[in-house]
Amino acid sequence: MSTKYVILGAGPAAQAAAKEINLYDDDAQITLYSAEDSAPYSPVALPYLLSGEMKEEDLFYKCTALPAENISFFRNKKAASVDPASKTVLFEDGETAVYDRLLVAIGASPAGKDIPGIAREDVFVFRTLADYKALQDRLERENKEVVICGGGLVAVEVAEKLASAGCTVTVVVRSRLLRKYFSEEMGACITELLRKHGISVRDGRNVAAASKKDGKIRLTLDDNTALSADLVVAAMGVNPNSLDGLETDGAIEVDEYMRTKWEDVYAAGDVASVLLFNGEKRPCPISPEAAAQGKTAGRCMAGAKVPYDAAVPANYLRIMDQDFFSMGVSEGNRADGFVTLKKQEEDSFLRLTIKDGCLVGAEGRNRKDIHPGLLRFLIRSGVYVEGEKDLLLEKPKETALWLAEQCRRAGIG
Amino acid sequence: MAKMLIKKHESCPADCSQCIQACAAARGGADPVVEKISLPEKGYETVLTCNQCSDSVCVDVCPAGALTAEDGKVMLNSDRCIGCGLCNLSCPYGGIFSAKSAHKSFKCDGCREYGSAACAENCPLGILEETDAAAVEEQYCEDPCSPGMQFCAGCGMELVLRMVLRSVGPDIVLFGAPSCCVPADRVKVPMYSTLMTNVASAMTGVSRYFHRIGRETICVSVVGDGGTCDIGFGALSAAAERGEKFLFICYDNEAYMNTGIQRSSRTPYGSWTNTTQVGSVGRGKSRDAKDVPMLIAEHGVNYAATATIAYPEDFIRKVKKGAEAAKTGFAYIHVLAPCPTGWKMEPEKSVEVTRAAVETNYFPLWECDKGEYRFTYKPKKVKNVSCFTDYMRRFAHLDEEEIAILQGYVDARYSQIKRLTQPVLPD
Ligand SMILES: Cc1cc2nc3c(=O)[nH]c(=O)nc-3n(C[C@H](O)[C@H](O)[C@H](O)COP(=O)(O)OP(=O)(O)OC[C@H]3O[C@@H](n4cnc5c(N)ncnc54)[C@H](O)[C@@H]3O)c2cc1C
Repeated sequence: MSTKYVILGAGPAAQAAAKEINLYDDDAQITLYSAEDSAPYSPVALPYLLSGEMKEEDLFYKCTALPAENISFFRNKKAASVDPASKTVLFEDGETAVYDRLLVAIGASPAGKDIPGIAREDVFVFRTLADYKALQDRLERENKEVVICGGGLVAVEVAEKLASAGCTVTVVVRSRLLRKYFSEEMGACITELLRKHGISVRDGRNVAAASKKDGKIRLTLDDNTALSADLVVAAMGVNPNSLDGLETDGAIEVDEYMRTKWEDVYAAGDVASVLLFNGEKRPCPISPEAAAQGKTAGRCMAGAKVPYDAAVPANYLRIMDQDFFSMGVSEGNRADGFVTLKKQEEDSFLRLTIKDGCLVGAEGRNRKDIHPGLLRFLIRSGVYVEGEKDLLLEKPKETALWLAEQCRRAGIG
Repeated sequence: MAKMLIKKHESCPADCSQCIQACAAARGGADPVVEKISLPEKGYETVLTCNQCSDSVCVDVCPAGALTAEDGKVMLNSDRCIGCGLCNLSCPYGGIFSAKSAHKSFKCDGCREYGSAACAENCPLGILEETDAAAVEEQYCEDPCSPGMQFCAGCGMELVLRMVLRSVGPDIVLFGAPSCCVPADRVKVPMYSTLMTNVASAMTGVSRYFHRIGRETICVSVVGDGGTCDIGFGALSAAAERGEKFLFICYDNEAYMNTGIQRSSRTPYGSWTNTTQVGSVGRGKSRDAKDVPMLIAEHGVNYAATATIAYPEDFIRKVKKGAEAAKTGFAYIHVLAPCPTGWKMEPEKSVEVTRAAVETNYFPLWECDKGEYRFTYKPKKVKNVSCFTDYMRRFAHLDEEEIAILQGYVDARYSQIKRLTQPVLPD
């Protein structure tokens, strides 16, 4: 008898799981349900629609490769609750689906759309294709003065792409840009670059009050300066989505096989709380990890147990033809045992963070010569680099490859 | 056809960049997708390119569908690449490159346009090598053995058995003798276990009967070196001389391993075994191994060849050729199959050690097709035999002088085969 696999979600985690189940279980009956009214896609590509570097129809190209024979897909099907006892999903439209194995890959949603004083239709978020369409539609009709609240990767990326598309952009951020992703000096470098690009960055500021008059929004910051805007984008981080019946506080905890505490219920992607390379347990909301988790979940659901490696957060950013990457710990205190090595050259930068002799973080600017995936391998595998750390800084590509090959010959990773 | 690029664990010369130049030329002057890696501080000189993983992370993470797996290769469609950098952040081998000026990734496409891998073609040392992986891939279709094989970790014979069964197919009767290879209850084909002395005689009877009733089922043996080269040699030699129609495969682990590692005629000079002890009197085996593959070839048989598990495409081709030759006459394949227990080595180095055996000319790969000898593989840079013996503790006691003696045997054997591969000139 074939097994019924139900997958809630259609993002990178869900897509990877479906592909993997199909590979491992010939008789699988796989069904994906998306809350959105579109074919499966990856949100990573959405900013590239804003700048016109990608066309909307190309967003779905990848999923045309999803093998279709055993896989059905339903759009506009938002799950409301799950009953693990009867193995049933209840959708918002009243329909139900029964599963043998369930994967919850419903991702995350922008945190907080409410800005007191502004009507909800003037505040935009940026997570889904529908969000993009709404924003794009508004931008096509109106003046292009945009205020972005938030300082994470989505805020910065959207700011950069909108500015490239000809908008006047201001970013208001409570502390500094990219605090969670890049070190202070790299954050400052990116801020300066955005400013050069014509984007006004108001760091260390909050919106104190807002109002709307004659079609223009007026924002007052906590230093009493005023900003005007046609629309506001709220990009203040994301919260994991949730379902009734699978109560948790925050993300859904999973083990190394992506199993939850409910029988035959798995979770993967932005919704799941996983083990990180440094022992932390929390979501690692980036797309490559979502795909890796989806793959692990899919394999395990189909009966093959291959555990998930610890997650290593990693990001890539491009601003005005400059490249930035960061991974692992972005900055650590000497007092907590972190050692920082830096190499600054005229137009490039590399920082390595080491703890207990192991590489735990790296960030770079205009270092296209490096293969960052190799550094990420060293972090993920907990490779001891103490004796080679200066060489690793001087010749990161060569040394990382050498270390990685040593490990692989010794059977690690 | 699936071609595979293999990079050997070997050091490149520091000043060589032929693969890189060839790559750039094959790509019409575009940036090469092979990169020289030079770390003199560690004596590390190598090249880096895409591994063409079959389970590729880059394909998984690409949000645009620009990376796809096609026909054993990972392809990148540059028009679809949005330059998000995820592939580069995710590839743990460093196999994807980031274009210097454009916001795009780029990578090796296995010389799809050019036809064959230019880097491998131009590598003077064979460190990059392109092989046809189709035959190897086919091997992974069905498991000819049931679960629960009872061999030691790293057993070379088990790999030999699987490759033979997969290459020949199900229409087979397998023959074996008392040895490590008593897997009668584990293979999914008929198996006839005889005595050590008479494998070739039993095969004679069964194969003649099949021919008489017009049945095409092939008789194949998987017998160790003891059963082949010592105890069963008389029957084997007789069958070869009569031109019996079957395929005799000897897996050679260079001693009687099943009974506790005793010397056989295939045990090499200097090797420790339980009957060639190392101590105040003994220094391992005092004589060279008997060159049985050559002896059998010189019976004037239809086909004779040597093979190892480190060169599976070569091995599979020979098995298929041998099976074909066995329709009309005698065919013999002599496979070097390491025994980590008896050779006293790390089990995970099984394949590697047989590669070293070939690269040092300790075990040359050749075939003799109806009297015509030829090498099927020639190492570009032949290494000293110690590169092979260093893997194993059975040779650990050998001093320089003894290594030199062994090297002498290796060189002599090699030049003997080499002579045979050359056309005879009139006086
Ligand atoms: C603008 C933007 C840019 C980004 N850029 C990058 C980047 O450059 N690099 C990077 O690594 N990451 C990036 N990310 C993050 C990345 O997109 C996410 O980590 C990744 O998409 C998570 O995958 P997922 O499958 O867990 O969830 P999602 O991709 O969020 O997918 C969730 C799916 O679940 C569905 N769903 C939600 N609720 C329900 C429900 N109740 N019932 C049924 N279905 C439901 C949704 O419709 C959707 O299909 C970016 C994100 C955004 C928004």
